[in-house]
Amino acid sequence: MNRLVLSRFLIMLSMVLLSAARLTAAEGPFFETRVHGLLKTYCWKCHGGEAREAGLDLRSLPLLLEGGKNGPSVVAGAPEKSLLIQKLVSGKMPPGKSLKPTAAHIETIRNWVAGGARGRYVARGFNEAEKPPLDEKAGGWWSFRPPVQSPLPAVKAEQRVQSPVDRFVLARLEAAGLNLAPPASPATLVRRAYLDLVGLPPSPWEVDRFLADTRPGAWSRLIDSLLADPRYGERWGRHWLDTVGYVDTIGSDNDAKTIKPAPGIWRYRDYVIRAFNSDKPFDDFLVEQLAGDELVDWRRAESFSEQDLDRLVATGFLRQSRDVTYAPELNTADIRHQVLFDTLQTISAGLLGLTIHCAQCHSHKFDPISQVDYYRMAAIFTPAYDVQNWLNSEQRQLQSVPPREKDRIDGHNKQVNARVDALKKKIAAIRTGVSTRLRAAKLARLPGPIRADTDQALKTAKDKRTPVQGYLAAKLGPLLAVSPKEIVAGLGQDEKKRVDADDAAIAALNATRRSYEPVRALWEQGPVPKTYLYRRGDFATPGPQVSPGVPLVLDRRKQPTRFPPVATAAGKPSRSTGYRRVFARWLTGPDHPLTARVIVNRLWQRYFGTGLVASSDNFGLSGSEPTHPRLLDWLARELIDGGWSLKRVHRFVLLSSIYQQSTSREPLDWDRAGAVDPTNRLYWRMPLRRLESEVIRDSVLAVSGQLDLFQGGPAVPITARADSSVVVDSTKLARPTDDRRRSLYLTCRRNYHPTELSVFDQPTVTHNCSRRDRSAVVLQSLVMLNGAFVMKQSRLFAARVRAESSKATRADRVDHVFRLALCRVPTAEERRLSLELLVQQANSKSPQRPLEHLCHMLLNANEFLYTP
Amino acid sequence: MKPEKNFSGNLPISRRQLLQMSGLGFGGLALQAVLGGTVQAAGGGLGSRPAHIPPRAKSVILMLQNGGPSQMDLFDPKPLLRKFNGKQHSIKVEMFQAGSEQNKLMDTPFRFQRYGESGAELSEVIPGIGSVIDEMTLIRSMHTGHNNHTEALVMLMTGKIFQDRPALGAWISYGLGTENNSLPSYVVLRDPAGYNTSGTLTWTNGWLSALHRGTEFSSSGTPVLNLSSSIPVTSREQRNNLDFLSRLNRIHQRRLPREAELEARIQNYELAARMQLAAADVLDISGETAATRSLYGLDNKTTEPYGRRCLMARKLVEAGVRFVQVHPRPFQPWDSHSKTRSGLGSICGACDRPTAGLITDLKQRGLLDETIVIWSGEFGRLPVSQNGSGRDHNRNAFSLLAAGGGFRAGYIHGATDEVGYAAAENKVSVADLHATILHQLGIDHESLIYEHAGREETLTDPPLTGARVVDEVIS
Repeated sequence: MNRLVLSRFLIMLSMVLLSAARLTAAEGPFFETRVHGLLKTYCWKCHGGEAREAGLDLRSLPLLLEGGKNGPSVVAGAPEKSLLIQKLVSGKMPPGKSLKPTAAHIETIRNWVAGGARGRYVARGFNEAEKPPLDEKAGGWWSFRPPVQSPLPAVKAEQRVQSPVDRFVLARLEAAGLNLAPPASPATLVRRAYLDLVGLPPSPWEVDRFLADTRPGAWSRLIDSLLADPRYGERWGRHWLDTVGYVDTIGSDNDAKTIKPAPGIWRYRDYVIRAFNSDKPFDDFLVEQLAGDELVDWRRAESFSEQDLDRLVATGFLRQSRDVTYAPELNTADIRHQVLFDTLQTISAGLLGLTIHCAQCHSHKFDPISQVDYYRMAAIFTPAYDVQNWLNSEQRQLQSVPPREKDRIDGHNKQVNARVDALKKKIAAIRTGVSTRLRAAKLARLPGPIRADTDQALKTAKDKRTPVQGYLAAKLGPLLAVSPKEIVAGLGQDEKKRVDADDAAIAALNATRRSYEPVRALWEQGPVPKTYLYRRGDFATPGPQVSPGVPLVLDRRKQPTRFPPVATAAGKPSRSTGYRRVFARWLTGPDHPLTARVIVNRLWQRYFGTGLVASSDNFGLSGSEPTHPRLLDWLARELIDGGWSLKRVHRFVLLSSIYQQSTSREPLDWDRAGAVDPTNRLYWRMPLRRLESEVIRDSVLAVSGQLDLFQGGPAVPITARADSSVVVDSTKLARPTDDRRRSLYLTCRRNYHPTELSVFDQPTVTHNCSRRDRSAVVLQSLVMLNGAFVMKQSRLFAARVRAESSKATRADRVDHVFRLALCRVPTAEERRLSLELLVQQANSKSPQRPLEHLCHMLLNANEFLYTP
Repeated sequence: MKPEKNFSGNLPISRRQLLQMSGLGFGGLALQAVLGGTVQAAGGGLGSRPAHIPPRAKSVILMLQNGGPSQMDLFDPKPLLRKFNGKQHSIKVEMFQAGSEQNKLMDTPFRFQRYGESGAELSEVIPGIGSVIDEMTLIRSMHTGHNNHTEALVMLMTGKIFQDRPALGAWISYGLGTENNSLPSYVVLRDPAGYNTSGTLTWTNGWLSALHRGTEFSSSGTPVLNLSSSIPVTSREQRNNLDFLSRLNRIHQRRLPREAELEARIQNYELAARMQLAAADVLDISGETAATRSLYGLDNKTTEPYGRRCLMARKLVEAGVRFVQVHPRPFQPWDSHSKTRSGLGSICGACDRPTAGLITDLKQRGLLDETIVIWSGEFGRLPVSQNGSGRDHNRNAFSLLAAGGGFRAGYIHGATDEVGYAAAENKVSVADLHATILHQLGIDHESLIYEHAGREETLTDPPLTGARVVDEVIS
């Protein structure tokens, strides 16, 4: 080094030192000003965004100071001693072909370290503002206190009390000077019970059977038989699938034409149906869905029992969020976080009935839920949804056998493959021999002079042939070709024997192949990550670290809920943290203020259109207060204390006079009650409820006699047509009558529902659905009036009527049409109008048309669309 | 405009809720006669709503150019790209998909020229738009929130990237209803051959009532799905059926005389019959003169499909439909990841002339004053090359055209940086755009509220987005 250069170097060095010295004073730059952005650009991909290589997370100053497994990344005031600066200056980081920072960028970071590595946010604990305000007003809110059993109120109308439920409702009605509507007729009640409990109208014979049962307790017996009917699980399972936001697809499902099925997710749907049918205690049901994987030692199991598999399948509950990370360009930190946040939203709205998601960005504005609470709850799920150690939505699935068994099966199948391949090679060798022999014989039949030349021409590569060779190959090549047929015919006796034996051996081997199927489960797959509170909800600004916990306002027992300590050893965990199990146990504890209330309220909402708490996904301070708080609590306590049996709660409601009253009242009574309680929140009559989309389609199929009640299995494929209709894809049916199965078995998409369902408010699945809309729009009339599905079923309905009443009079036929569609006989007036229609629509060319018109109009009748 | 407590389903319904539920959005006017009295709150008919602001426009036509039209190849000339073609630039661009080359700026393959009296510089591939640029505001400083088609489209239409919010047209239908009681308030005209990316998400009602969802009208065959019978039925048979049905329903109604929902359904069957005629009328373009047909490019195979939809759009706003959304050919036609020259050449060839035709026709008929026409994609593209001849997605800048309804004519608003990567001057966000459109329709964007899940929701969410009416672009 010559002198000049050396002296320049020294000057520069002293300048750097000088500036460093100056910068150690308090005015050094802030982390947030520039450094945060530079680290985001150059480092985050591997250290904080989508991964934390070497345990290092560079998203915030405290995390950066904490460093990774090589120690702190920065020594304040000493850039030379700072790992971060060393790596940047040496060019080791960012590695390989990653985008490299410019010298100026490195200098900026270096200056910041030299200036004391200052930051605006200092590492600190939670400030008071972040703690939930547990004042009496908020903390004392009714839904944050455990439900308590009240004594049953005394009422005047004792004769109307059939269930304890009646007392609570009657007490309020009587206080308002009102009373119940008269009981509905048995014919009305039987249709109501069938539609509510199994989602299908009763057949005329089922109606007759009920009407003929005049012994006491007929209603109770009907209810019991319907609760025991396997179709009950389909009807009420579908309600639960709404709460969950169930879909059969992966990702956002935006493109009408492209359906990306979630392999094996139908097992979750079937699990739900079975759980409702067997009346699985609701607490167990929740625990399995939130933590089924933590109840089974599936990693080390030799085989799965039915229950083990069910528990893994149950965690499909946590796999319903829109997860597009299977697309590489969308497998990014923000979208991964969204999957986690969406899952939390489904849990909080669906199970807790709280809008906890508001606290993602700031402590809740209405409820005593702090931002810390939100991230504590997130921490329960981050070991499974670890955004820095992510499985994309295709990879994230287990198999229907344990890992060991899967390895055994894979090993076995591999061996089978090897042996099959060897046998195939043997067969191929024999066939090649035959082929060579036949070709030689064909060649020998060519005239001598061109024999060798032709052979040579064919052996020469196509592009290297001389013109003469080309001619010979084109002309004579086909003559010398040996077809597979000729080979089979040309096999010698011994050769044939050998080939047959090998084929048989292959078939035998193939029969020993074993298989397993995908299960869409959730489990923890790596070391337990740290979870941070995100300032303003932005993962780019992580704040203090949080530990798993439940919202404080909901955890005010003597012994607060504790989450097990975590072994911090790296590598694959041999078992789960158990966080979700603790969470699920807390959720289903006997004094949990929300869980039981939320589910009994949902149940009430299904029967009466509106819940006792109208905002069924918001029990917080901004939600509605219950119209009958003591009834809600009474039902909740009965659920908990009755072993979490939902069927038991159903019976309390169904056996009540409230449920069995008429939807109608005498005009004077109606007006009097309407003046006091215009929205019928006191239940002075049974609310009229439009059927849900699935029930409408299923009822049409049931009435036409076409319904296929086959249960379970993979979803029936549907397809979106260019004309914007969505129909069952009849070209891809596994069973020929799959297009006539119950609607819950049709592929459930986020946006593109079969037309008959979508016009009747089948919900677009973004998160989940707490309450179905029930619009009355013209498109519904159009679908019922003109749509191919309803018109076809009308014809089949008419054909059924003819077949079942072949010798009957016209009037009897009309009666049968009414009995099938509306579960009752027509009035004299209706019968007369129907007979008139049959005459008006007389059609000499097709005599069956008039009846088809009548059947079609009955399916269009308002009465058909409503639970009576 | 704030609803007292919006309609949310199962509570027995009030008259106003019935008006919201019934029919296809023409609630107010259609049913007022049935029920008597006036409509007071949002969701009813236009006439009953006290305007916040004097409205400048009555309806909106949105030409949704999905895929991400390239600003620097169409609307926003950048001479620097020619100068530094193939070279690196100091800006660091945010790349999205593979194949993008951070280090290589790419020049446009098109020439730019000045159009109209305003002298706006536009690409040679959009001479049609050039011919009507004097009627338009060109905003060169739009920006949005996401680099993926779906999220960006959802953001353009609903204001946010999340998929549960109502689209612009649904909000407008909710706020203003329609002036035609035989047609929906919000109509979507897409290519009958298939959906564009994100499909029905771009006309979703979100958590608003289903009657505010966009109704798809087909530009060929039956205009509305199931509008005519799938099995031949004579009109006499149909009449007999409907009369019988009505009698049956009236008998049923005797028991439940105060259930407004049942009355709405009875009306809907009559409405369905009316719609059959009204929609057929809109579809029928046989009455249009040869000159008009030519204006829209119906005399040319390439421009005919889109031209037909543009013509239908005019007929729909003429008939009082509030919001019409016109789509180009299926999938994402403006998505030029490679072969910019041929790709943009092809889609411009199909859409440019009809676009000009629509503006010209609206102007000639005096409809342009009361009709807002918006031409926009979901985002723009990068100044650097991708796959040698294309450009990757870019949320930081895109260009948008707005005409009619009080938008300034012959005006260019905002600018991007020197290579067109990011909006730099007078930036306009999607929320600003929404606020401005609502303003022109007489709606104060902060007051168009719908209460959902305990929150007072607005389209523009001003506290979060800082949405403002862009006064500079309106006259």
